[in-house]
Amino acid sequence: MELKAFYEAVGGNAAAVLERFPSEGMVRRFLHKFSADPSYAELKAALEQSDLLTAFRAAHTLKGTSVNLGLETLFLAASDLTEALRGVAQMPQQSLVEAVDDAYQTVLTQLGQLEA
Amino acid sequence: MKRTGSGCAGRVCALLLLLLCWVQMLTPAANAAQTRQKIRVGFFAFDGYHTIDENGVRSGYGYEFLRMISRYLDVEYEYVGYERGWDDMLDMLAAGEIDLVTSARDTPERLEAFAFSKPIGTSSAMLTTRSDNKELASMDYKGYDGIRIGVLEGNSRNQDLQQFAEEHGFSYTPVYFELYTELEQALQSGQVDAALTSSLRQIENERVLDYFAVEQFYAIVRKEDTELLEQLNYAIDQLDAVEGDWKNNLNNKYYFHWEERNLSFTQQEQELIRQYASGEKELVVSVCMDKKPYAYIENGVAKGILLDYFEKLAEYVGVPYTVVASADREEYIQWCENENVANAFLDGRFANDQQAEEKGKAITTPYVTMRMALLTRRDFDGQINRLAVSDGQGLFGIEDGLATDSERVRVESREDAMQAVLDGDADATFVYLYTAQQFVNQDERGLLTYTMLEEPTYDYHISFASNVDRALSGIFTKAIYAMPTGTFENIASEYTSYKAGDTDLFTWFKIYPGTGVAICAILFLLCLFALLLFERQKVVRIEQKRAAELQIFADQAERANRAKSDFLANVSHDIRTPMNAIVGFANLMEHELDDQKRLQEHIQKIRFSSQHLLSLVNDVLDMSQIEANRITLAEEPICLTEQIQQVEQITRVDAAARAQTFEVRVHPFVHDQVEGDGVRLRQVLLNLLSNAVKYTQRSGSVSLEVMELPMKRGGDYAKYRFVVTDNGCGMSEEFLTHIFEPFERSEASVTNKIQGTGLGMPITKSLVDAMHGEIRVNSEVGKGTCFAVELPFKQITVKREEAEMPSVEEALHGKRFLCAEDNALNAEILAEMLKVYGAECKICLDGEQLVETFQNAAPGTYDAILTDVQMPNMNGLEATRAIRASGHPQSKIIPIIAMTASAFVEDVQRSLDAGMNAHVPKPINAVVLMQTVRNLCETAGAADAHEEGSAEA
Repeated sequence: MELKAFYEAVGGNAAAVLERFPSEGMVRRFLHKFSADPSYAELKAALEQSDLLTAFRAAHTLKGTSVNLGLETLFLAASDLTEALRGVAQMPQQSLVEAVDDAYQTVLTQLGQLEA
Repeated sequence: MKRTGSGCAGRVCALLLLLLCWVQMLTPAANAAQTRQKIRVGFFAFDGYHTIDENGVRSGYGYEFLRMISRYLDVEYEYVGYERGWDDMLDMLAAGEIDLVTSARDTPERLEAFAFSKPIGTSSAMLTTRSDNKELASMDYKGYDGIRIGVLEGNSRNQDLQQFAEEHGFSYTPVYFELYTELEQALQSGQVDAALTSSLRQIENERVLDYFAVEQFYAIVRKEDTELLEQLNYAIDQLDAVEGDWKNNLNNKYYFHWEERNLSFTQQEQELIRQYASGEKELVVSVCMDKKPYAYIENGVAKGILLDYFEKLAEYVGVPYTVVASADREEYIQWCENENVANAFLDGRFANDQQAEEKGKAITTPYVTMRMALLTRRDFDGQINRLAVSDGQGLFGIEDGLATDSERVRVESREDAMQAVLDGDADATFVYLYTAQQFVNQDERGLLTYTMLEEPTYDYHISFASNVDRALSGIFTKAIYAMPTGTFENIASEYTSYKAGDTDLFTWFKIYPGTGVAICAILFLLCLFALLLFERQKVVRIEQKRAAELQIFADQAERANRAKSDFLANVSHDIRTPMNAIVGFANLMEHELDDQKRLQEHIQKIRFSSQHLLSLVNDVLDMSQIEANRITLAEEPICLTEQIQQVEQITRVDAAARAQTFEVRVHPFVHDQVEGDGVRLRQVLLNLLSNAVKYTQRSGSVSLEVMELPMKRGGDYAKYRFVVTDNGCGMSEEFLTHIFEPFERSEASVTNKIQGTGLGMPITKSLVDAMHGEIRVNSEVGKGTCFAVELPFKQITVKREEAEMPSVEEALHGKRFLCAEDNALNAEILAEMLKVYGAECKICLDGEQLVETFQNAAPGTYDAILTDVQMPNMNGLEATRAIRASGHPQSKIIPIIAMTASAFVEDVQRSLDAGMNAHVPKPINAVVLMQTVRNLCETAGAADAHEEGSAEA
């Protein structure tokens, strides 16, 4: 699959990402590393246990990683969730979590079709 | 207040009367609505058939059909199931969840289950592939063998495909999808090679391979709904009787697309192409070479826009060819007639098709519409007394229509004609547009100008000799249609655009022989002198620079302090207002801890006041810096298109929240890459745009228009105009005179509700001033406002930068960085980016680690520090202060670069205040990072060298 098609599918702009990175190979390599990054799993586990501080940190990390790799839909969802978790004592709205879930799953699915 | 009792009573009476009238008017209407029959329509999403766009507007064949029949029926619709697929519709209809669904074909099992209307259109099975798929050609069934075809679950078209495949002897693997959107996505991502749907789907980036199994389709209802069926058939009869060829019209409206054109070559065509490619046949191309820059001879080589364009066509088709050039126009005309030298002519111009037919030529579709221009001197007074006409040109006969009474100056060629205008021997000449453009751009003194003519225009075809295979014209027509839009114009601009390199020394001498020599001599002497001076003062210079910098810092600090205290006095009122609100509501909340609803409400108010206070403080700080002239503008490479896009994105959100239309018009730039301060540019534009949005009513409109202004050639700067227009509440004339003074705010009653610090405009004005630009405003109360900002930016000339700076690779090779980044994956990306440029790095996960690692490192271990600002344990600012205070030999001099996601000026300032040297925005851009690092390392290197030097002395 072309990188362009991948970014179109997950929400993002391949050209903008390629401009920031020295090579396309590097983008592809780190996209695949992204699927192995534990932040998302940590976020889900923390929310499961209502551990809001850990959830906030994980969401923040996910936000930082996704923006760096230009995964815009995921980044926007993770940003919203991060803000909802910042310094609060209650669980975030389920819809915010679902938005992150959806975006993350889309990225994983599309990654399955993107050659390293 | 003058209001009498009787007046008041009168008003109440009038109001009651009005109310009564209103109720009476309302009643019959309400009754009518109750009796109207409501039909629940299955409205499954299918692009082109049932579509709802982002604004909620419905369209499509199916939707228009419903609207059309409602002209003849007293019904209203409820649209159900947009998120569902076609096969759900049948279940829903059977279960009574909907009453009607359209687009059904009459399969036996459906005829059994439902009642069918009269036909409402024809559809077929449609097999498509991605438009850039070159392997699949229409009707080349051998090529279909073994492909993966995406199909929709439960679609009756799937059987048609099976049959179609059997008939044409190919096999395929079906891949099933629930929704057509998934199918489209799979086709675009390459998961399947082709897609099968009904032809009622609108396609984008797809090419149709085949249509088959053409059949009529119908509206269907439940069998027992006989009354509804009768109504439908009645309305369809009406459509047939009244609305003419409505089915075809709807079809054309929704499904006919130019992109659908099948541009792949047929087998016959491929065979012919093969004959040319293998050398069996030969394509010899010619064009009259008297049309610079379209077609001309330079140093014995045939060149020009037409030839370059044809090269692209021939490349697309895959045929080789030879170009032959005639000695002159007469010979060329002979060639065209005798067809013995060349068999393809690029400037085929015919009054009509019959003319081509009579000459036995096969012509392609026109590939360019040639426009004409009137070339004059700049001081042309509009009156053509003497018109230059070249020999070949008289054929056009334009001058007879447009310059009847003028004297004719006969010259040999178009160049001579233009030269005659330049030399003043003639007032004007008519030439082709790009000919004029190129000549004007080459005229160093800028004495010439041209005006494009609307009429006449000439269509150019490729014309093939009568002795070649006619199919060649079809093949090249396909190639012409396949060229991306703008291909011709892009080629033309390469020929006509002004190139700085054209002004060589030679040209200079030609134009200004005396001055040229003198200037050169002076320049040479100056260079020598400067070189000597530079060498001698190198060391002294750095020392002086440091002292001067210290003095500047001291001065600035003092001035900034003074400005700040002045300002604080001025804004005390503005700050006190939100502060009072915050304290007041906090007090209230203490007494209402049990009342959730009120608490929520008051928290909201506190938040609102705090945000206002924050923006006020930010503005004050910004203003104080500007007032203290402490504002330093970055000079970094920026891409204007990108800057505008960023601003557009932010404004679009705000405008959408107020249901305003927001339009951005960017006229193409000559220079898109410039040097300037992106943050400040965005700040200016956002200030204007956010004001426009804020002071414009809901559903109003706001627009941003950007264009590059023409500048004197050869300068370093490009100038741009940004115009922000709205149709909002506007400003009074009196207010306009103070708009750029601090703490002025329009106090018309409408705007009272609007919070603002009153500093936005003064800041904007100061920033524009600092950028050496201009700002103007036009406004009328109740009508709207228009701000126009003009800003110059330095053009980027790549050469200069290369000369002054070592390349990124050179500068970074072997450098060692100490980095702090708490996000593990991002840290890895950073390390890898540095590695690409031959640099190494050590990663720390927070500020504490960073400080510790730095302190324990031997002096010289690291060349620079890169740090995130937000980190756990110790943030980047604290870490920087700790490093600067650590007493390590490099503590004061090691460059520290912040990596920050915040674009706020004050955040950047804070990082500089903490002792950092520069910042790069996140997400990290390798090029920006490398350039920043390089620039800093260069300066640090110079400082190092200086310190070592002074230690020895």
